[in-house]
Amino acid sequence: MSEVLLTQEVGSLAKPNWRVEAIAGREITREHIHDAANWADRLGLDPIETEDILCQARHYLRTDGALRPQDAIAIKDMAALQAVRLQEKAGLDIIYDGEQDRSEMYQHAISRTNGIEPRGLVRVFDNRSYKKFAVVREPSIDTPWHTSEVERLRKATDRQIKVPITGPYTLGDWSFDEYFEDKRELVLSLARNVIRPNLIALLDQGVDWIQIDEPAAGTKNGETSLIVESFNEATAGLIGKFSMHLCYSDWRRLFPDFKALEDCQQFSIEFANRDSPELGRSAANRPGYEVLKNIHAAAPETSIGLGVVSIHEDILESPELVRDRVLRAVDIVGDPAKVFPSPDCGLRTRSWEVAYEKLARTVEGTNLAKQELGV
Amino acid sequence: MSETIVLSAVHGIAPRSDELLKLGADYERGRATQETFTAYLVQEADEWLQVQREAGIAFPENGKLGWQDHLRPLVNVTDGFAPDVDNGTVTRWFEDNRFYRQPIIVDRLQLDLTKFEQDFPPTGENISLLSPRSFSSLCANAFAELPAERNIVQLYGELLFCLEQRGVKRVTFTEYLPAALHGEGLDSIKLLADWSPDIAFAVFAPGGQCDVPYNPTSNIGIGLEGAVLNKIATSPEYRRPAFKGKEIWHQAIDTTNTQNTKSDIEAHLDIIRELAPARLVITHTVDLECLPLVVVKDKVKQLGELAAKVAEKL
Repeated sequence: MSEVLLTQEVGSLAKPNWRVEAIAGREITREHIHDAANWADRLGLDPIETEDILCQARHYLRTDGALRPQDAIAIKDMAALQAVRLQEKAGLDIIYDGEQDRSEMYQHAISRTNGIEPRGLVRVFDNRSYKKFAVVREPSIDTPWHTSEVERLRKATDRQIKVPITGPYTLGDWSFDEYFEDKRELVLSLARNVIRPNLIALLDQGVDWIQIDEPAAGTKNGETSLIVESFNEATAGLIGKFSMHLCYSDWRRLFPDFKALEDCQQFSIEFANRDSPELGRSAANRPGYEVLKNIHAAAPETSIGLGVVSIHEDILESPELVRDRVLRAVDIVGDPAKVFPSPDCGLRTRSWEVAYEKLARTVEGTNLAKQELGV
Repeated sequence: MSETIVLSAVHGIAPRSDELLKLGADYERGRATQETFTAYLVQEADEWLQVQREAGIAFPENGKLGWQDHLRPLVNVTDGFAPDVDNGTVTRWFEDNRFYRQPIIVDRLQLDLTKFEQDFPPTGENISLLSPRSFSSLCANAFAELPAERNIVQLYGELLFCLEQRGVKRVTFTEYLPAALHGEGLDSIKLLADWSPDIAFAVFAPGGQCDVPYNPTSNIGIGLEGAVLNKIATSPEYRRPAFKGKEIWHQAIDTTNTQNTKSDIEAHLDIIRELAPARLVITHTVDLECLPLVVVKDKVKQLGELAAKVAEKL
């Protein structure tokens, strides 16, 4: 594997309808079974085995009114395996399982945390909402919640993996505080008592690379030092590769203060969303990537997870557009080994059809860039 | 006896109930009909108005429950924005965890009256809208012939005319850019007030800073129903006599968190007496939709109670 311009995922993929409906205890239709078998076939998996698993689950759903635990596990595993194969087939170098076991990045983590209570739904985007929780006492955890994902993933792939985990600042920022009355205390407690034990568990499993997702970073003025402090608190003294994913915020608020992040080896950032769809590699052609100059100037040793395809539209970027985005970034960063092309963020809002195409074009465009660079 | 009338008001978008959110998701996925969804929306808007009436809110709004964000319903019925707004850049809404698709202005903006009649959501007598300055700041402007704010002002002129036809009597402009309460931003609102003399206007800056020096001369000549101070300044140097006879808005209820934070307004009654506004409007901080509905109902109740209490003490 060439060690420059490695392509990577960022996190989530949509959960297939058959998985969602089955796990919710709703009817598994012929269309669901056909869809699952079709994807299995496309991804080099056994469509007959796929059909068998779903047909068996359907039988017990109909007769008993509920999934048997072993069927639920089989269905979840099948969804994760398909998500892995989808990324492999698209050609990504660094993958995960599409977060198939996670309800959503905030809820999955916070609902497994002690000391919180649900408060209700609030809007996040368009007509979508998320369940927001309140911290009502000192947070803690009983059991780390990503180890089973890694265990399963290890059996499914030999590709390099990167584990995404929701960061303490985002968990704190997206929760109501009914206990600390001081955001710094809240966020640092989450870093210390919730995120750090998860990181330790993953490192103990031999995970090399953990991506701490902080989409809330950059939302509020004057809180950059808290983001830095919480990252450092969570990772202090741990031996492993840590990176941070950021999206849909004002990067100018984060740099240069992010220089104080200790041992953050990559910033994975959404750029394509703000960029022009026109081809070209000049600064004028690539307005969405201009901020990379500031980021690189502030942290020249830190690699960049480079968002090259947008995740909120079905419009498919051409490989040539991806190529130009990658080449522009290489121009700025100066070293192709420090650039990791990826989607802007997790692709969970796109269909698998669109997600696959976006990932494949990420890889194809990166290969075009490699050809031009002769690497 | 004080001459100040104490009122309470809400602004922005109210939260939908969990049931309405689920129905909306079902409707988008084709599992529920538009009729079912719309009927529930209307029913919930009525319930929301009732909640406000029972709390004693002076200017109840319908909550804009059908709005997906502060911009889109207007963008959808206007010519001059790039048509593909569904694929626009995803942009964070100021400093919270909400997002919107950034509209791009590509031409002179003009309300499509047919679309407005068909698609613009129902409005009651009172409505809060983004100020022209805030609205334009949230758009990308690819139309070089006209500054974005002036383009939006022209559009708002048409919008206000149509809203007046629908029975709107009062518009509260929410101004997310406090600096816009000076100079051109305020001129835009003054212009709109001149164009729509039968609508009462107010301006409120929910994201604004407190205790900032304020230029009262900007407000003195304005034909608005009231002048605006974002929050009552506690420092004597910021207390301006120009508020006498005007309207002051004060963010007394925190809607960024679930807990009931004790309002500081009762500690400032002397300042209010000194400023002697004609009206003191007690309101909340950010959009109510940042909280779940069950919490919001309680906050609105508190708002009404606080207004009554302050009125009694004044």
